[in-house]
Amino acid sequence: MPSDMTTDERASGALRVLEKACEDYHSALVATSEELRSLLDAGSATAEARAGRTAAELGAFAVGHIDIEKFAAFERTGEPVAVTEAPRLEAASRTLLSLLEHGNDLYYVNVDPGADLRDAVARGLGRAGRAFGAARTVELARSGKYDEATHGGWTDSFPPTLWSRREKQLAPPLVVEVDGADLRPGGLADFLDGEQKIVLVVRGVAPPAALARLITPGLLVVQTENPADLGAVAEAAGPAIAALVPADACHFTHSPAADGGRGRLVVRHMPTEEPKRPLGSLSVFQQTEAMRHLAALAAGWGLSAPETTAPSGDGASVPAPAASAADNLAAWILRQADISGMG
Amino acid sequence: MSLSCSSLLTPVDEDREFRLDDYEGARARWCPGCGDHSVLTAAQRLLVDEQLKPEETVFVSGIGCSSRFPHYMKTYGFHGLHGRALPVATGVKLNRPDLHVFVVMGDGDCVSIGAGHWVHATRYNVDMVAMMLDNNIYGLTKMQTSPTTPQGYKSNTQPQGSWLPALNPLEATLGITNASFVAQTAEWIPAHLFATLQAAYRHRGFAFVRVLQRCPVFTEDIYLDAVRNPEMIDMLTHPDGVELPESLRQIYTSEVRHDPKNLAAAREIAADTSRLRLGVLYRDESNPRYEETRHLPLHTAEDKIRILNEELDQYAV
Amino acid sequence: MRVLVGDDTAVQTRAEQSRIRTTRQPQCTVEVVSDSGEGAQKCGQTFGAVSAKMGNGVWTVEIIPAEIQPPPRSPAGASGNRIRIGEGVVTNWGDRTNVAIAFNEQVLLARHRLDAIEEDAILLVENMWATHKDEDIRAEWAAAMDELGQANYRIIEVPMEEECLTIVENARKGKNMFALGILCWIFDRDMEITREQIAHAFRKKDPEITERNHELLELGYSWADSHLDVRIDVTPGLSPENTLVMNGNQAIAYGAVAAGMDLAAMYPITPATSVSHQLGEMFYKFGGVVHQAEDEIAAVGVALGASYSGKVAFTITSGPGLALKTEFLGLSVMSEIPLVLVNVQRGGPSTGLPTKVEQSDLLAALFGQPGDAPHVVMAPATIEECFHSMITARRIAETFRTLVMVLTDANLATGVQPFPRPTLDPAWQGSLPDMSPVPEGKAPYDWDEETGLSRRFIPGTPGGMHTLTGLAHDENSKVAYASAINQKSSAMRSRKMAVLQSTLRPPVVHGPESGDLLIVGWGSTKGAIEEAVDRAREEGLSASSLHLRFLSPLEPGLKGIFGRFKKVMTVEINYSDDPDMPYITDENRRRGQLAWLLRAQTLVDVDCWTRVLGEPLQPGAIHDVIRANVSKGGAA
Ligand SMILES: Cc1ncc(C[n+]2csc(CCOP(=O)(O)OP(=O)(O)O)c2C)c(N)n1
Ligand code: SF4
Ligand SMILES: [Mg+2]
Repeated sequence: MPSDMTTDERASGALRVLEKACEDYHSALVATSEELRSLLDAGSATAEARAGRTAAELGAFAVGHIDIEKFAAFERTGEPVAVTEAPRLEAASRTLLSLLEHGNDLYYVNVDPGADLRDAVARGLGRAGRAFGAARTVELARSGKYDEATHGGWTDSFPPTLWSRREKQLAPPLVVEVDGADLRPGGLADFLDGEQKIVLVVRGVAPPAALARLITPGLLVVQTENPADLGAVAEAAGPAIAALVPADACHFTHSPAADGGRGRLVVRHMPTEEPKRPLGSLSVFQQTEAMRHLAALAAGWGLSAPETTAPSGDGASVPAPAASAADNLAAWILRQADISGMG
Repeated sequence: MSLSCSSLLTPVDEDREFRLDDYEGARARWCPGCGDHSVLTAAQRLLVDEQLKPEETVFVSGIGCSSRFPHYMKTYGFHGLHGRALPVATGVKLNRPDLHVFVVMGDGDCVSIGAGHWVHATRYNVDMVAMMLDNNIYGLTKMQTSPTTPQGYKSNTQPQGSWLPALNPLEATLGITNASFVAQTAEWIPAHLFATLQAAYRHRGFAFVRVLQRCPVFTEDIYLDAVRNPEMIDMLTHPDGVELPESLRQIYTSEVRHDPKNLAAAREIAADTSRLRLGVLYRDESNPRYEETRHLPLHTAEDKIRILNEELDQYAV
Repeated sequence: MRVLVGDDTAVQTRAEQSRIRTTRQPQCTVEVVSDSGEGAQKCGQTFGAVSAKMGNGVWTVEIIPAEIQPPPRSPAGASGNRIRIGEGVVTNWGDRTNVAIAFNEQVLLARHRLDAIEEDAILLVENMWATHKDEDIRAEWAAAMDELGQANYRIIEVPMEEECLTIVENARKGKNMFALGILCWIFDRDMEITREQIAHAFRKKDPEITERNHELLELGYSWADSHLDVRIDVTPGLSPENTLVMNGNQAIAYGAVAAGMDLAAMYPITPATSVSHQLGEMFYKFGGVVHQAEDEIAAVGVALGASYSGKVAFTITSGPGLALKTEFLGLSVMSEIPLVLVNVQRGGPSTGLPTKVEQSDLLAALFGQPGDAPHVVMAPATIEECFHSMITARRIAETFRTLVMVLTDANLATGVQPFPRPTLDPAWQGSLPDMSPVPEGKAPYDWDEETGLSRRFIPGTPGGMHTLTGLAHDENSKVAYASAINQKSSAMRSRKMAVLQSTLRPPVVHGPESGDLLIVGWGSTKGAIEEAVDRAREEGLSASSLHLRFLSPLEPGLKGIFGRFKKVMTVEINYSDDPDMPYITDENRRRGQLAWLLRAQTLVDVDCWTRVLGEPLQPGAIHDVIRANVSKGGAA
């Protein structure tokens, strides 16, 4: 097991930016575990235990003024859960409590050099997602539908492939530290749904435009050197992914449009040269393709919908493209050269 | 959208799909031809379109004909006090940001007895849709003058005609600091009504929608001309507000491009009552929302007790 | 007797010090009075806190000016604190003051004219006014000293201004700490604790301010050491271990947190507001929020909306606010949404006496909502109970789907008293409301025919969709005007009160369970009543008392208890006609509010003695009432 403790200052910075999402998730964990506690309390109750609980809940003002046993008799408990299901509830409760103990490390994974990025993200989400597994286990248990063969182990791991629409809306954010040489984000598209937020903190030399391949109309994609740009990820209304990359990589933001259009792409920095050396298992071709893809998107979109390329904030706008796609790209890359300092 | 305050425990069949009848409550008992029927249909369509879970949707209302609305929905409903729907809705949303909150008020409800709450709810900018169904009269109590009754219009309390000029709810709402969404639509144009409610629902913040509503019993004549003569109506359109639904292009030919970001223009439009304008007058999502002040419950009961103990140390002898 | 301490006696030798007389007293009442804004309150509060920390019993109350903007140096401007300390527990503000320190002679005169000062009291007064350049002031001083001189006080002039000016430029800002130093010397307070307390009080200010205040404290102490000859020993007899010192409003605020509530909605109103100040400082740490609404109606509406959608919320107010909230309170009852309302009572009607104590809202609390609106009303009797009552209130609200009103008053709100530190229990926060899917066929008001209890369907609960309404409704929350349904639903709402009452224990009588006179009280008067009863019994009078915590439903067994006494009377801080006033007959006499209630509920001829002086009742005054009534009642 790689150790998932933040080491890079940028990673803790990213967690801070995602604080709201972390808190949302954390508070859902708290609410669930509190609710589960209530359920367990109610379920286990003998009349005596219930009176004890009532006495505790009524507090000191009741002493001498309220007959606890009588009062407890009027307490309504939740719909009782079958005794045989108690072990499932307890397992679920343990899962939630252990997730709460993780604190913010729950939202962080480290990808060991050479390891697979997609696997690591799946692992991170599957870990935090155990909360969903635990909640489902409780629901199944109390509705009498729990089946060990199908649902067993959900409290131990609950991968995003199993998440429901609502769970994806509640998705835990994830900050991932990864070597530039392992930055193959293609597989991450599988997870980018609902309200999922992922921030990749890239170590060392990085392919220039790795995230460009993830650009789709409804996805917020950010590649940047500046942690301040991550704010957009935190605030995004849908799924979002960002990578903190070195200064010499491409810096861009693709924001989705509310109306389902193709969104707005702002490129703040393009390297003057295309990549010359392979990086880990990423060939020169693969790296270049991603970069060209970005340029093509920027240019192509500029063609038919000028408003999508209007200057925004500190970003440079994409100029109206020349006639052919190839010329267009060349011209475009060249013209970006003189603004490289503005990223 | 954050589902912060809620627990993860939800029923097993939760990816179910909702159809219109999943949102239909008791049979609506408004007068035949009452505009409220059409608002109800639009709201139900909106919920289908947005696939809102009935149990996570709350319709809060006051008292009046229009305020019976929640009974006809199969969501949670809160049919509270005359004029006081907004505080209740604010409480619901502050406590449960995960719920979808819709408020239905009459004109008397909203801008007369509830006027204070209307001003402040606008300023709080809590994320919800607030519809004011404006029939220019008190319907339920049988035809008393309302603040929006046209000057000179006769009622049971002012049989000689309303003495004062009508209050202009759009102009007034646009004058309130931190207003973030102000729109006007008419129930007799269902496609526009739907589009407007959808824009309101999707707006993050307090979305105030004045719905011009026909009351065939007491104020039949007020909107009659506008219903019959679409050319009397200017449609305010913009990608950031509502676009004119395709089906209406032939009928409503007077389309005015209006950028809802432009507050000054919005105020001008609202103040000029020489024509009826429908559409989104103003919209700004960057305004602070009051529910953002809410700190999430991040602590279990045990944690809270520990923090409380630390707090009490200050008072320890 | 008038003793002037001038410069001639300033230098004392060690030998002279032995002439300092120390008197031991089981309890002693101290007042610090000034024009408002001169910091007398801070001096008094600090003195009280230090005493508590040393193990004295303490009760502190504020002395609030009679006018809002009184001119300086006017009797109407007297402002400050009364601190009663004792060897053991102190439960009330006592009778008259034994030691007073005043920043001008006019405020002292005000206290004298109010008969607030004990005959042989020691009065320390700033003497800069005697030689003031303004002739009128000098004349006022002379006249006041003349008037005070008629009484048997020991008056000591203190050159506060002159002394303070040796340290600070503006003596107005420093006299309070100088005065504190004097009090510390007289009562031999622990100076280390005092310094800490000052540092705590000024923790949010520049540290230099704390330093300056420490210097002033020392100055006052050493001035007293070299000029005064009387010290008072109130030996701390309590273990200060595990004790908290706070006022009732702070206790309410922390009680609400302990009870697991996390939404308070309010509109500022004296004397309730400081609850929200306290919450504002710390509520967020617990995920709580204080909503300051646009008015009281909105405040209760927000609280109700929040309660409806989950955990019980609460609203805090005082008389005029309670009036505004009534319509929503009725809705809470009608729709059975649990809600906690804290009403910190002040003088009324109307704007009344905003800062002063009264217990005049009892009947309004019970019956103020038009229509039949049964709900719970409870009243903590001490500051400690203010804390604990919030926990019980929330629990009852939840279990019985009901409105619970907690009535406190200005005396509890601003009084400061040490009490045993509660051992906090996470269970106080209760369980989360049940949001498990609603089984098919269950109705939102599935009243148990016996008890009227039913499960509450909270938004988010699958299968529980319904529209809650303030209109008459059936089990399904469907609007229903049918007579049988209204009769039944009214009965169901009312039944819950009977069921709650069946779980209450009969009150415990303070003193013998039978005798000549039983005094019945509620709320903040407990300490004064019991002290008076104890004094009376020491004199051999047959008197007991009983203090009610639950006013609705009433605690059980009252009729039986009342029957064992020859006479039963309430003692309350609200208005009643005295029987010997003109026109007053037994038939038209308007009685105290609790008396009214007890007569109606028990058919016992409950008498009353009540006062609305804008101040807590004094044990001495109640003692007099007992004397008068035991001889009368005893003979009857
Ligand atoms: C406090 C209070 N005052 C008065 C009423 C009586 N009342 C009920 S509805 C209403 C006015 C309804 O008019 P409006 O809000 O315009 O709603 P409409 O019926 O026209 O939809 C009034 C005055 C009430 N229910 N409560
Ligand atoms: S009176 Fe008017 S507003 Fe009320 S239901 Fe009838 S038509 Fe509608
Ligand atoms: Mg109306």
